[in-house]
Amino acid sequence: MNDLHDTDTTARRSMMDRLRIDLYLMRLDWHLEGGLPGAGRKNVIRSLRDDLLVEPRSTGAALRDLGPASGLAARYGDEGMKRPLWSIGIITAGAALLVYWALFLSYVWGMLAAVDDAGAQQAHSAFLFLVPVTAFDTEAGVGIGWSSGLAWLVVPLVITLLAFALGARLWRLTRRRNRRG
Amino acid sequence: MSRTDAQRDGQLLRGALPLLILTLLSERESYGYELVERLSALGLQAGTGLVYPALSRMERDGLLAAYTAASSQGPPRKYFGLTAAGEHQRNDSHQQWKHLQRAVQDALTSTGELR
Repeated sequence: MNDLHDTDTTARRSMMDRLRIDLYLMRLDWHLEGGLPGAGRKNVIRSLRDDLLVEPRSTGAALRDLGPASGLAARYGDEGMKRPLWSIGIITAGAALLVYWALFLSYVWGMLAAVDDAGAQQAHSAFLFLVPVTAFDTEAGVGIGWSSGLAWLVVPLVITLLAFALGARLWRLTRRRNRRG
Repeated sequence: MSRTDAQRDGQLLRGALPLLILTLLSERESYGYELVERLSALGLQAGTGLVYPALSRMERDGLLAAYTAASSQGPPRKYFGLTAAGEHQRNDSHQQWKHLQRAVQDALTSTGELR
C-alpha cells in the first residue's frame, strides 16, 4: 500500500535518485512493449518520469508504491491485446548467447587442460554432442579449434533464435492475427 | 492488514476506481499524486501504481483532458479534468454502481435471511 507519509519536502532528486528512476522506467518500457504502441509508450514514460520527479515522497517510497515494473506495465497496457516484447527478446537472446559462449569456452579450456595433463598431442570431442571441438598441445603450439562444418554456427544461432522467440513471446503475433481475422 | 487482505481490497477498489476518479475530478481538477492523497483522505488506499495507469487509460479513452500548470512547490504538474465524454461516463457508471450495490445488498440480505 502507498506510504503517503514518507515525504521528502525538498522534492529534489539527486543524481542517484534520477538513475534509480531511469532504471525503473527502462524496465517499465521493456514491459510496456507488450501492451502499448510506440507513441503511447513514450507518453506514459514521459508522464511518469515527470510525476516521479515532482512527487514529494522519497524516490524509494514512490517506486515501491508503483510496484514491480511488469505489473505496472500490465495495468497501463491495452487489456487483452498483448504484443511481442521485442526488447526483452533481444536481451534474452544476448544473455543466451553469452551463456552459450561461456559454457563453450569452459568446455574447451577443460579439454585443453586435460590434453596438457595427459601429455597427449590432441583430443577431439563434441560440445553439446553437436559441435566438434579439437584441443591440441604440440611443439608447434597450444590451442583449440573446431571443424569447418556449420555446426559451430548453427547451434548457437538456433539457441539465440529460440531464446529470442521465448523472450519476445513471439506467439503473441499469431494470437493478434487470429483476433483481427 | 495481511497481504491477502490488501490484495483483495486492491481488487475490490480497482473495479470502483474509474468511477471514483471521475467523481473526484468532477468536483475539481487534480494532478495524479493529489488524487492519491484525496482518495487516501476518504479512507481508500489506492497507490500511484493503480491511479496513474487508470488516469492514462481514461485520458487515452477521451474521458479526461490533461494540461500542465505551474506549481508553487516546484516543477509544473500535469492536471486532469473531465471531458464531456467523461461527464457522461461518470453518470452512466454511477447508475451502474447504484444498480450493482442494490443487487449485492439484496443478495446479501436474502442469504442472511436463509441462514
